[in-house]
Amino acid sequence: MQLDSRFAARLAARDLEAARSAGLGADELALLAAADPAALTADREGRRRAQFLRNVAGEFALSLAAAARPELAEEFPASAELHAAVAADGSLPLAFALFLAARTKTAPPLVRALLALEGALARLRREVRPAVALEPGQVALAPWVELLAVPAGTLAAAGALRAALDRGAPTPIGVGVAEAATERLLLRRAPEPPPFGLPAVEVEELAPALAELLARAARPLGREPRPAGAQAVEVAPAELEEVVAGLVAERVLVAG
Amino acid sequence: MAFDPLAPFAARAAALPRLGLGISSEFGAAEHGLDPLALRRAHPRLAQFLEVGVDLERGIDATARAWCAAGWPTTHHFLDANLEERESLSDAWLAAVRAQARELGAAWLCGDAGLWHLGPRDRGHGVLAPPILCADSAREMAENVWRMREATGFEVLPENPPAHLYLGELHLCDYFAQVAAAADCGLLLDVAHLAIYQRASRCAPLDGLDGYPLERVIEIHVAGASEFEHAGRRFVDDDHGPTPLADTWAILAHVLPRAPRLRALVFECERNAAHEVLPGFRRLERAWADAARAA
Repeated sequence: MQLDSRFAARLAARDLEAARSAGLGADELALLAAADPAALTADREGRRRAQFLRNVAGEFALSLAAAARPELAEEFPASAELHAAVAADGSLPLAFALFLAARTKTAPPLVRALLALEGALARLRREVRPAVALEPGQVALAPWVELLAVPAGTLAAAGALRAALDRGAPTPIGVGVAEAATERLLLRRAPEPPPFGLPAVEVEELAPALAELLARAARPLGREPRPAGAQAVEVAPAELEEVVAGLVAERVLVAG
Repeated sequence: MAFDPLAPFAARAAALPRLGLGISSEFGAAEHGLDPLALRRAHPRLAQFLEVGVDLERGIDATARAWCAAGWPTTHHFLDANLEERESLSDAWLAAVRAQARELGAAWLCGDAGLWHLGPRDRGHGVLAPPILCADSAREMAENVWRMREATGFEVLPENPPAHLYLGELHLCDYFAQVAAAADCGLLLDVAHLAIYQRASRCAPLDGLDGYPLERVIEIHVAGASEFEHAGRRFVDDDHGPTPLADTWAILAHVLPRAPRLRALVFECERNAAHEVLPGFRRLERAWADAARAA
């Protein structure tokens, strides 16, 4: 309510639909409807709102810089994505990613590519795929690893934009991506993240053959299908087993 | 006398050390504001202990670690728990806070009692919202204070939080009186926050204090604040500036001689330069000494 004055006004008017959307019962609605509207919106120089937006948008600095629409984040507090997340006790940064995606559908390819990257990183910091049961000899992509396909040049553009932001240079800068081609990225975080706070994440570009192998390991991959996979990625079967063993050692793959 | 978290309040309070006048800190605050270590060295009587504002995500900063390494006293002020919500105080959080407080050598735990996070404990979810001022909320908070005290082995002092809007039918002082009685706990009275509440609620500075259990006050916070106008009304921003409001001093003057178990008085001024806050520290020192003589 303090961040969305229109929603606050609807509750003050005892709008039942607004109350339902927030999961409020009759008593709670009465309490909120009786709140002093001046006290509800008191926020010296908008500091509280600004701090909220800084925190919730902090993981999307590249997308926002590339979008070059300062008012974009300002629209988040009144968005359906924020209200849905609050009602469901969901993650506000992940809701912000959905909000940005919905509002940048027609944005330049660079913006959408960076948002795909930053959104995937934000999810990886918070969500872990459940581990799959593996039989002896099987390998699979580790739960703390994700593969991401983005337009070619995305990772380099992200690096250039990050460097520009870090040195305080004006953005956007002259970088772009090529939608006609794809680069595949490996996103990974620590297998055992700290119990409180967000884990660090790393991104690296994958060679096409390695990307193909890891994509095949999205589902449990036994020994038998691997020679066919070796053919697909153009390595000898014995060499492929060495690569797989190395990936297991690096904890990119997990083995049964 | 050793502190026993299972003993009645009077026995527990008797086991708590007198820390004197102290200063607050938050993660990284010394980089741009007051250096508690320098203040302690220059004015040991004005910075007798450090209240370490801390959450589990950022942990303990270098300044607080240096303070601890010097063997100087501390308290642990949590910044990431919803004392009004049982689910916020998970077993993992309680265990981690206990370890953190032990690492600091904290005399006790304290913190604004309300909501520090909206929904999950995640980035962007940090808020500081007051509890709903009603009997049900007071009961739930008391249960959580009790549980936190037993799980950590430290006295837990709920603090009245700042806000411009409070919901519920109870006066803030009555709410915390109910919490303290049901949790059999000590209290942290933030007189600057109370001044903000009184202004926002159109009350006089001392309203409601006759129902507040001053005999349970272990710690008091004082801080500067700024007035601002919004929608035709005057509000107070808890900006921790160097100059407390007149209302804050008036509440402090009323409370100090009536708080027999007071162990610690904190000037929350971590974002200012030392020369700006020394007058405030000296005034607090005098006020406490005068109150002790009067009592």
